[in-house]
Amino acid sequence: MATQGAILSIAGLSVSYGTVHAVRQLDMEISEGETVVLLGANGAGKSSTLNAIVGLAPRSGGRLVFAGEDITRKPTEAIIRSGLALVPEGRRLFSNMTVRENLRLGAAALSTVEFDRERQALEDMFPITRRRAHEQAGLLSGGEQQQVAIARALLARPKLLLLDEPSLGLAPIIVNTIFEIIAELKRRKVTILLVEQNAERALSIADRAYVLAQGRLELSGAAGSINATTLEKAYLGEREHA
Amino acid sequence: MNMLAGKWWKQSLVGSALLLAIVLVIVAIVALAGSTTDMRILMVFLINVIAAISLQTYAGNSGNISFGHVGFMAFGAYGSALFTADPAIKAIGIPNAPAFIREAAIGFLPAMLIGTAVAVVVAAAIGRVFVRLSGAAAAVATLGFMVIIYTLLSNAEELTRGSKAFSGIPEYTTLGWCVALLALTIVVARLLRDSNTGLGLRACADDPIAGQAAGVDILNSRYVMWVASAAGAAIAGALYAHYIGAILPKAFHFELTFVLVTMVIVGGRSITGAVAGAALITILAEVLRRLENGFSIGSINLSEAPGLTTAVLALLIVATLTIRPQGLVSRWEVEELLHRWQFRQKEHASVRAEENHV
Repeated sequence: MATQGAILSIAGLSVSYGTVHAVRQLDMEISEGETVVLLGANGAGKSSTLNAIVGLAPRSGGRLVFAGEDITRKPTEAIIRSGLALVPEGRRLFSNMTVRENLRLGAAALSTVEFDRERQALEDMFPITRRRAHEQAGLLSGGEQQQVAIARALLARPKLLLLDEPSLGLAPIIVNTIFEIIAELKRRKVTILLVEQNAERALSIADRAYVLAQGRLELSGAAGSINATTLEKAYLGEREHA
Repeated sequence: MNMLAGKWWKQSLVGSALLLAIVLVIVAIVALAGSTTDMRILMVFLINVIAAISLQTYAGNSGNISFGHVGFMAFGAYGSALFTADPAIKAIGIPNAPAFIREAAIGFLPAMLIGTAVAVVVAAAIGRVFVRLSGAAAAVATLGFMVIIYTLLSNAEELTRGSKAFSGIPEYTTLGWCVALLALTIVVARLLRDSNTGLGLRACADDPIAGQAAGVDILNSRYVMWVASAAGAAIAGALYAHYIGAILPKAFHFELTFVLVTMVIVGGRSITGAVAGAALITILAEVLRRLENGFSIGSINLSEAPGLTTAVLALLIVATLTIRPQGLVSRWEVEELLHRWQFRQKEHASVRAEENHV
């Protein structure tokens, strides 16, 4: 029952770690060019959802269709190569490797020529990746590392970009930079699924939102229709019966 | 000019050339100023460097140590030896061997290629199992492989003369062969290491989750390195057989494994590290070998100290793993080390300039 134009449709996704059910029966859909935010309190299952989409978390049920292809049983590397990119929580750069090497890791499917072209385009957007290309990524500040991580994910021109808490642990002024980058990506029509703790900022940038509580979908709708009151109710697990 | 700019394979070639230049300087010094014994040590060193780089191609990239690569060296050594030894000698030594082996007397290069091909076929056949393992399981499995090959060679009397020495191998291995094949090994190892496959694999060794999230296919990448490193090890084995002129299964057992693994661990995780480790261990082993014949510290006289080499190598591994677990050169290649050194010099200069200004 995938809608026309849906780049990713999730039906009945469940994620369990042993007896702990992180995500239960989640239905979700993202259309091309959309910016969708996934909100929820700590432990609501947001990161588990992202990881399950790319096959890094154990899926105990459900079906995932990405760009018209069933990716439910595909291994992670095949899913990534089919056009999904994940910027994991905590950035997860390879701290011993140089910035340039980190970027190359995002371009496994590209030829050297393509890599150089994409890299140069990205260096204009993320000057840090040019200025500090040959330094160890671990020596960069948190905000700089986040920029490199996003640049790495964008290198392969993904059909859908998954961002897991990009502002986590960053100074407020750096958080502004990161949200400016996300806004710029939105202007460039990159399809984004964003997981964020900073609900207010995320909603201001997103087209639509999904709210999880204890692994269940509590609320979904246009970003503008969700305000502090509805959000608070959803966080507390009070299902909206409208 | 920044030598780290530009394409990755250009950097690989520049790095290979630099590393080879350093080895050639050592070769030139020993050839001009060294004794016959020094030349023998140099030859064994060059063969060991090829073996260590090959082991590093798997271990350094995947983060999994292998105790099994001497098994592939044995394939290269016996494979090449069997097809080149004088048929008259084989008629006496291994009279029950198949005729195509007993009567064969082919050249060095084709024989070496046969030995290497055998190693590659075996590596390709068993590799799918080995690349699924990590950490201790991988180490133990490769150790098992080494023991299996040793047992097979010791019992295949019709082909190998069992645990007795297989001699009469033509001494084809010259300095030229060693240097040429070392150059080839360095270039191929650097290209593999710096390729997307090698980079992705090294990333996964640091952080498997993030590596997979970046789309790295760990198993296939490991498999490529596993087969390639087996080929390199077989070449080293063939060179060894044709240098010593006689081989026996025991030559490809714990002792050689231990030496090679020490070289790789002490050196670091790069190709440059394998060369540095091999150089250090060769020099150290030579000094120790002379001491094993007896030495005195102050009033303590040791007439003979057998096993000193192994004991010191073991201590060296322990010391490296506790004091400098990343090894001598860590993950860096020679051109990166130079670049870092230049960068630091520049920083020092600017700090000094600022101090003078104040």
